[in-house]
Amino acid sequence: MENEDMKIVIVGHVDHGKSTLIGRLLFDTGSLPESKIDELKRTCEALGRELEFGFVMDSLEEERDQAITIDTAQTFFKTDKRDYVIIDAPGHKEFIKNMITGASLAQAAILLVDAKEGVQEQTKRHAYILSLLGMKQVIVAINKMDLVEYKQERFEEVKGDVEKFLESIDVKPEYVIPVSAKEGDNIAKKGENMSWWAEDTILQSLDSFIVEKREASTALRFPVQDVYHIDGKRIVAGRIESGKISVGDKVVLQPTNIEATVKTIEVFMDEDRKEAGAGESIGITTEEPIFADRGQVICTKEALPGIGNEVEANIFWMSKTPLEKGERITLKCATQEIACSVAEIRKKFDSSSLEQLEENAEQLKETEVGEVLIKTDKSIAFDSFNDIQETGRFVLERGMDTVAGGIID
Amino acid sequence: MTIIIGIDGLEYEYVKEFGCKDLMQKSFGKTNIEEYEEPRTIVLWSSFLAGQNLEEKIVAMGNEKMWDFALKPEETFFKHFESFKAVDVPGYNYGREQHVLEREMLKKFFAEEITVEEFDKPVFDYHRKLKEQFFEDLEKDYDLLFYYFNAADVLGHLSFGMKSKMKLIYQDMNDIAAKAAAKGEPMLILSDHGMKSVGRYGDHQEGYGFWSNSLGKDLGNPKITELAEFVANEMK
Repeated sequence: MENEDMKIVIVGHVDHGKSTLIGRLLFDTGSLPESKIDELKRTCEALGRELEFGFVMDSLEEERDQAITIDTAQTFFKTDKRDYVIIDAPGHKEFIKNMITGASLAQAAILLVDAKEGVQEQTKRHAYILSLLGMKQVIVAINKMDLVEYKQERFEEVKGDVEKFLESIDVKPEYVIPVSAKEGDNIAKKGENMSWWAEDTILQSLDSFIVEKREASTALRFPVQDVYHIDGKRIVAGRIESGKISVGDKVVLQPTNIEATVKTIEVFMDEDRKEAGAGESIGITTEEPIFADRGQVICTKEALPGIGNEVEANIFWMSKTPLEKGERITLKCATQEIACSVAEIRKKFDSSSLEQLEENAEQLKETEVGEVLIKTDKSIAFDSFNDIQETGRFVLERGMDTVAGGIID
Repeated sequence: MTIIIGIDGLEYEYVKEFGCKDLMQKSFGKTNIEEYEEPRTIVLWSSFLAGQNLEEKIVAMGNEKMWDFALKPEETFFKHFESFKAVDVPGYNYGREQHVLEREMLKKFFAEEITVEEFDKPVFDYHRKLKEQFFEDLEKDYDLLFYYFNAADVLGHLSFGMKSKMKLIYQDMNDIAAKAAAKGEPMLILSDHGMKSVGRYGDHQEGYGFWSNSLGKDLGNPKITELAEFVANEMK
């Protein structure tokens, strides 16, 4: 059993069976909340019925309606190999926001496609988002095989369509699996309805993935979340997004370019820490007094991020109200929050068909993707998404709404 | 044989939502019980049997005594049938022992002396027994067979807001109706009142009950008292 959880996200068209798949994963791995299911079990016994999966789904949907479990929080299940956390993604907006802000960064994705309906626009959009976010571990589940009489020909047909589209956006699924979440075929066990399928189930495929470790050797990126004064010490707190930091390191605060030497590393219940790495939330003190502020990024001189007022990026627009070129919005990257405007929309694409719609556009509409130039009011520290994801992705906000997600070229 | 299935607390909206086709039969709708001060079980069933509103008379007996109210056959539409069997019907031959037990259990639950599971058990036990007896009687030769089931109401008091559980109970009632419908005889299904959820619990719904019949006759929004005549005249 691995110690580390794997976070997964299930995406696809809204009607292609996400809730049923989640319910099935929980049901077949014995991970459902006990009390209500027990009450249903007892009721079934009292009425001389078997506890069917449909009743379980009724219960889960009821809880969802009451905002208790599914679709509102993280959901957990386990296999013999490891624990899994299903990150909720009720729509592409929340998905992008969560993925880009790093609040719930999934390490693997299941893209659901209805065997009867085949690839839909929303399927393509979600797949495009997976591509945009550089998701490497992807399973395509061709669901509702029960509706197409479990026919292998239909599976192959839909599989061909999905793979063709995914290839065009540079996503290579490691598995494409025919499933029926409703009947339980090829989720946790093979089932009897698709004897022609000799390959892995969804759970076997997930178990074959690796929980990607954060790369400790990459450049240090330590965005400042806050500065605290405790016992006369000035502690700069945040989470190390990449690289590592040690006592005695010469660091530089960006974008102000102030240099300092790390004096101590402050970790709760660990007084003698000399080093910390990616993913850890820590505080540091410095030999020289530095006036750090939320939003700045601590780095090393040897591997500085890009610094400037202009950022070239790809953005996915999610608001019903289009983006107007030059409109005042806010860019959030790591802990940085800076007023900005999109100065140029160099190209824009339909995220479903990938067709180029326009060059030098004035507007970007909902679900369109744009190659843009963003101008910020103040300098920001950033990286290319391909080099360091955490400081290479951002969201754009209009007022309190997240209106776009983006990655930096 | 004319069959009447009386189901206490059967909620019109749940019957529709859960797709209980055999409870809906060929024609179904809501009864109108707005004239009653409260949707009291004993009052509504008695009024149905007698074909007249007996609320004032029964309520005057007081809360405890009213459960002893029992009509004679000649005071009910039973008189129109040569042979009949009525089982557990409030206002006629209500099984007081079981229902006193259920009310006591309900009090104990809210006093936190017993769990939902402990509350449910005797209700299910009784329901199963009644169901078996009903299926046996369906094979016999009565002019009128009238069974009253109260599991939907009693269990609903603690679980009406838990739809997944209520769906199972409604499906069971639907199965009972399906078995009766298979006889191909005229059948009326009636509830005294509906229910509404209060969190996970349930309370009596004021204003309407449920009716359905196998004849396909659209009764509109009848008063419960009007149905006695319908049974006597059109379902024989």
